[in-house]
Amino acid sequence: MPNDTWLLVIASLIKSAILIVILLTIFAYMTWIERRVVARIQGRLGPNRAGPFGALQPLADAIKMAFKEQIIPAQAHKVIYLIAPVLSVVVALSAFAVVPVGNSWTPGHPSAWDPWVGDINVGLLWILSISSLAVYGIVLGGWSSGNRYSLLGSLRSAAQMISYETSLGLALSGTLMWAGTLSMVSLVHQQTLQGQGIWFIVAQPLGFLIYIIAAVAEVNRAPFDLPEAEQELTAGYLTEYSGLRWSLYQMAEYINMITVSSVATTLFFGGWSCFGLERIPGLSLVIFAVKVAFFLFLFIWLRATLPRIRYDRLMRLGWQFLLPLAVLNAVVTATCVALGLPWWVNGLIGLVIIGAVLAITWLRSRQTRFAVSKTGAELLPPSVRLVKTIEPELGLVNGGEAAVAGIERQRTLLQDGRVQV
Amino acid sequence: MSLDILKGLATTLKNMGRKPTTVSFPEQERELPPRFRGRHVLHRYPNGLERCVGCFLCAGACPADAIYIEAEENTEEHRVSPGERYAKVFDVNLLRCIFCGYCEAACPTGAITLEREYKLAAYYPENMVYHKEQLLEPLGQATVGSAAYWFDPPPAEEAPQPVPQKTHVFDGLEASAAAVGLGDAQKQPEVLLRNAEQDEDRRKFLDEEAEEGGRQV
Repeated sequence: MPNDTWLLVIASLIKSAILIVILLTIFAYMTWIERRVVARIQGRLGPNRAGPFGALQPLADAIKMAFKEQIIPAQAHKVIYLIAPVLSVVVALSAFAVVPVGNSWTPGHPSAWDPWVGDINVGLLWILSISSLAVYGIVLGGWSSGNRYSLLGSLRSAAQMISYETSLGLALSGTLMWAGTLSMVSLVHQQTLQGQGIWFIVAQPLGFLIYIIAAVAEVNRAPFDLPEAEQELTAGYLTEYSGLRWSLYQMAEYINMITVSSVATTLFFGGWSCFGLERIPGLSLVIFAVKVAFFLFLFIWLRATLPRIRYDRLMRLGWQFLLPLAVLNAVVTATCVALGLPWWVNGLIGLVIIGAVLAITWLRSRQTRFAVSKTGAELLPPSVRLVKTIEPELGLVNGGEAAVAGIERQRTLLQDGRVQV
Repeated sequence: MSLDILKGLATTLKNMGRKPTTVSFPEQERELPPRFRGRHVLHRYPNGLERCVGCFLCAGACPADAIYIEAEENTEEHRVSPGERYAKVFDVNLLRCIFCGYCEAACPTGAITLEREYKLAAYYPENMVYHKEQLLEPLGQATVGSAAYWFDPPPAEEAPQPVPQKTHVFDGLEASAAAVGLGDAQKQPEVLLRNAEQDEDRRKFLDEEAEEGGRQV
């Protein structure tokens, strides 16, 4: 059927173009919204000059970026240096292709114009594989800059993304077991009333938690933004980039953020479905947008709240904490699915595991005590003790007897003539 | 602990509803404290005469050497200030000025005060040297400016005690100038006293003090 094939090709091209425009617009406005929200949280106003409420700020930024000089360092590997940011963006954009952003226009009758670029039967695998290519853009960019900061940042990024990808994939596998499909469209259909009638978050609370933590690390956002840790690495892999190529990297970061938010929405929060509401034409798009917006806000919120984690702890969290939990979740889910247990059993077990983990961390935090000196004062570790001006060993905290004794001793020494003034 | 993360998230979320601390500056301005020290203003008496009598005390007090004055005698025909002299030239270099307010404190007639004008910017450094015409308030206006806020109220009957109030023992924990007084601290550095060539006047003063049975050097 050559006619149908041509229609599909043309429709896919047009839909891709529309999707790219929408994603880039969202990226532009995410930068502005993020700055406004973070400013509000920090008690500032944020950019509010360009246009009403500063709404034209992205445009101003774009113009500024377009006219900035793009410096190519002398020690850079020119070709790779120029290609790397483009690679980042292409990868980020193509990962979004399989995400269904809404219900098909005529439910039950799939057409070439449905609101997703492609419904392939390995949709989720496509996203995982393509988004793990994102590390290439960063590593190549960091390496080809010929700058040690860039190289360190990109190596950090590579290690971090590979570490957290394992937990991320395993966390998603639980949902896949419940849905029994990899196609993103079918995944959403499984969560509608016609399917299993539940959002998979209720069956997979633990999987969702692991996924969110791993996703934040995967897109290099705070508190896991070590690849661009300003205090240590200037700007990490971005150090040598300027102008439009710098904003290409930013673009890739934000589009990746949108992608992981969409995956979280699709796999755990029912995608565009909302218990029958999605049957109203056009509303499914809004439902999807609202859910994704919530996750995007979560990313901003986390960034404004949490300080950056230390690198060794990042690795420990990934390999020694998240990965075992993800494996445990996969085992529990597999058992539940194999035995044909209802979804709430799996959800309950997940909640119990979360509670147990929280209880264990709480108990361990209670065990953390500072050593006590003879006078009963807490002996703080040196890093904390810097804040205190008075050494606890002297006992000055108890009313200054030691200081008085010291003065008395000096006085006697003076009277004995052992000390000359 | 993991729950602390939730606590932190709640804190930041609460902050979102708070009124921002910053203001949109050119449209909206912050209310300044009454003793704010901005640009200098030269004041007049109600009869139109300038308060400044050209005594150079402000220029002498200025730690940044920002004030330049040329004084001239008042004559019967041309009387500018009620005193003997008036300031013919009064320049304040606001690039040097550190806005410490010493000039205001030094002025015997309350002629110079630091006012609330803080929007000081210029394209050329020479434009930041403010001349008398720019500093002097217009004829017909006679204010005292922020000097009104600088007069301290008389001290209360019960002045603060120099002895530490918590322990009533001076053990060095609560060290302050008021608590210590001058004590036995040496008033002159040793080097200065040993060096005969330096500062004869001071040595003379110290010798006199020693003759009067003061402290031994």
